[in-house]
Amino acid sequence: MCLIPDFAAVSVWCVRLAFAFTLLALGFGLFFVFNRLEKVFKAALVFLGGAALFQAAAFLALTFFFWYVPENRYITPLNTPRGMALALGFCVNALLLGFEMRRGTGITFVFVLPWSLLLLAIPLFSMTPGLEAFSLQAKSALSAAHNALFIVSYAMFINAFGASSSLLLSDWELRARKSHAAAFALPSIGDMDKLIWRLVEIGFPLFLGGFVLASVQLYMKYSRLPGSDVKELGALATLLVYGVYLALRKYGDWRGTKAAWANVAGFILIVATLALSSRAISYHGFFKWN
Amino acid sequence: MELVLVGLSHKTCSVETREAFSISPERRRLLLKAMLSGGLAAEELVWVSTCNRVDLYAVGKKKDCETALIGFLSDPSLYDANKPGGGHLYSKTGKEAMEHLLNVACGLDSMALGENEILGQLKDSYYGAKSAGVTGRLTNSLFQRAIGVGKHVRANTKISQGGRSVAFVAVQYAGRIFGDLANAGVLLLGAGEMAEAAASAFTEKKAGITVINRTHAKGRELAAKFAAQCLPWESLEESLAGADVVLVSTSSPDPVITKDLMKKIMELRHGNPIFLVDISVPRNIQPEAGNLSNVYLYNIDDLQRIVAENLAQLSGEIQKARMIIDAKGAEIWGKFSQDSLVEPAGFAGPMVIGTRGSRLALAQTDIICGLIRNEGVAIEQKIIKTSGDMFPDDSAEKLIGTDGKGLFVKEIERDLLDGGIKLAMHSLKDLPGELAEGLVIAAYLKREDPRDAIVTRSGCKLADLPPGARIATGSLRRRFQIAKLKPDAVFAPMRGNMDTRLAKLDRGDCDALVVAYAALKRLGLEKRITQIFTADEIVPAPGQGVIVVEAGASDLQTLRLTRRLDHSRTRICAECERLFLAALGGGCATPLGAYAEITEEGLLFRVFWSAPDGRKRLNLETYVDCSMMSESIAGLAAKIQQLV
Repeated sequence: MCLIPDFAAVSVWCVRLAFAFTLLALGFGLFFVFNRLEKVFKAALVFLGGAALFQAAAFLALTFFFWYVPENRYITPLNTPRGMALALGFCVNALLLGFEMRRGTGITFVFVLPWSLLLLAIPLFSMTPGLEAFSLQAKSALSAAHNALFIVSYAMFINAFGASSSLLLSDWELRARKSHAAAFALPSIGDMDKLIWRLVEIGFPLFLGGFVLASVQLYMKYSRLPGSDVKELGALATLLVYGVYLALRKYGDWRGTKAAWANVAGFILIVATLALSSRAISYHGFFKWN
Repeated sequence: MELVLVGLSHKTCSVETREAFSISPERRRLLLKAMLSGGLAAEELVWVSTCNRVDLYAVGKKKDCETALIGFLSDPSLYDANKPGGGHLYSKTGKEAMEHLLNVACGLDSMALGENEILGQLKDSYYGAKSAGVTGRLTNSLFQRAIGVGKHVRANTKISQGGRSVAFVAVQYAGRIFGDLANAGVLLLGAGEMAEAAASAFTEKKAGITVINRTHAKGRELAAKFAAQCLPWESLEESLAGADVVLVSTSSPDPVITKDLMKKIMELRHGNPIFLVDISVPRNIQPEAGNLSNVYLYNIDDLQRIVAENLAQLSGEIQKARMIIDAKGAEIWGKFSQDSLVEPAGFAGPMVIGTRGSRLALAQTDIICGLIRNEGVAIEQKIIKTSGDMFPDDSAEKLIGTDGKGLFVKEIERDLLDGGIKLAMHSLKDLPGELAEGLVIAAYLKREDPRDAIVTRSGCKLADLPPGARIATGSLRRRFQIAKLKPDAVFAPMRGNMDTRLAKLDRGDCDALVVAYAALKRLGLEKRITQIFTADEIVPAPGQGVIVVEAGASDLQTLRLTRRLDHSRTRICAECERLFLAALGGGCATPLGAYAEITEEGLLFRVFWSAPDGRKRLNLETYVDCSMMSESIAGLAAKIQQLV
């Protein structure tokens, strides 16, 4: 008899560990903001790296579990809320780790990691995934590609939102004439503005690519263009907000606080889209909450 | 020996006096020259020269050293005989001097309390002195610890946080908006005192400065001081569009920057943030301009309130810093005292020092014994016969053939390891590059003149010896170098102690004898010398003229005692020579000369190398950075190995 590892349990344990590591990274990040101790910052980076590794392991284990069902073998669990949350959480943490290793501000931990924790809370507090065959609609290379592109671009937009939060807080502190120590720990407005620009500059084409692929898929399967369900409308609105931001940042005066508010709007649209879309429309009905 | 500090600072004199006594490269040379010639009566020295202070820390005889340092930092025209230190100087010794250093390291003695730059300046000063080879055991330990305390205070208090002046706060807040100010453009409207202070503060951050003033000549004057650009008043709009920080200190009755103007400017700037600082009274920037998006406007009241808050917070932090300094200072001073304290009662019975039995070895051992007795410790000698002594008539080549290294030390080291003796006396040049495991060189005594000398039978100089004159020396190093000075000389090997050699010379076995000057001097035979070679003519052997004390690495009580005999400058030079010897893998009979000498330009290192057959030879002279000695010497050795 061949022993099959319990991938569902492995995935659940990895999620728990990733959650704990992310929480520790956030705690150490917060401590660093007020104490500026290099060792604390390094510890936060180590925990963040650990969290990203466990998230990757959790997704991998979930994929192997998913493939127990023969019909699922040609797709990944990206189309499930659990898989999507794990993949998105991993991308957010990995991206943040990359930035912080390069820039070493520490502050974006505070503005990004709460969202990462929220993403991890989905698999952490939902039940262990059950074994069931996936909808045939999901068995499409286009679907997998558009989901992957959306997830990477969402991770960039979430990091841009973290930078925007930092920028707006700095703006508020400067206008309120605050001079406490933590205010000086905030990265400069100029640096955050550049970071937001870089993230959206890269994230937007990926998101646009994902949207085009999704539209092609829709047209091929249902002979229609996107715009008729919450998710499609949300994605369209998100595309519009980030597109307008990019155009006005380049050719107009959307810098500093204006840029930050545009990114806050984009982030709200993303959260709303992800929260509202899954059960509303039949095409996305293969999202089953376990 | 005492730690002595003599200095002047912003607290005791004007900037003109500080400028006059700052340690410029020329004055540094003078200082080192005075130190090396013994004019400062100091064994160790570190100078700290910044725009706010000139401090000289020395280890030496308290009174002589203090007087010499005061002489260096005084000028008859500035001297006020009624005030201590002539009015512009302070002088401290011992613990007080150490506490002063800790206060300086922590920024408590700075003009801007708690500033960070001083710690970097202190490090640079220390490494500058170390690379010149004038630091030693006490100053190395003291400065390394003081720098540590400076870091500790900054990490554990908020002493360096928050601006203490309007200009400093303006720089800090500009940093919150733009990050690194090295690429920021600063526009100064007005050329008064505040503008100058701001220009100075922003220049330190390497920001690009532009000055605009209604009186163009005055603006140009300010710009010239900071290598800034000066533009006419008409180019205000254009300059505003390109600036990141604008500091307005004009005295116009009406605002010079209005909200409408700023709206226009922000369009030209594509919405890029701008920091406006209005320190004019009445205000010269319309307050409504600050409501525009990405425009941050601070007036003099805002800045002064922040300064007042920072200063209020600072007094508590100063208290904390002082507590840390007190605790750490006591610890550091306690360690010094413990290091320098030797209790004779700690040694059960007289200490035994091992030595060879030659007259020279005994004379050298007597020097050590005298120094140890001065410390209140009883000592007696034990004569040990070494391999080198057992075959006095064998040629060096024959002896080298048996082992190659440590001919005169092996047996002594064995006795030291066995516990038969506590200390061993050696001529450093007899010691091989690597010591026996578990042994260390515990002290380098002050070096005697390391040069080589010639004793001729007829009393003439080397050049006057007839062709074919027989010159006796067992050293290949001397032979190859003398052959260059007198190619027609004939060399004969000669061993034995100094008296034997001189007797052989007198007997007519040879026409001349080449030996170390230090050996003849220690034996009281200087009168026999007919010529002393310069270090350029014959590069001495590594460690020549240096007596060392060897001891067990784990015998801490003995090491604490011998540390007091150590001469730091000799140690630096000798270590440099020995590192080189070890890097080339030579022993006492290798044809290798290496001589390090601390000069006012730095550590001058002369090298002579030859292949054993004398076919390939090399002479070179270079300066070595003492703070990176191992790397420099390894590099030099690698270069030589490549060349030959």
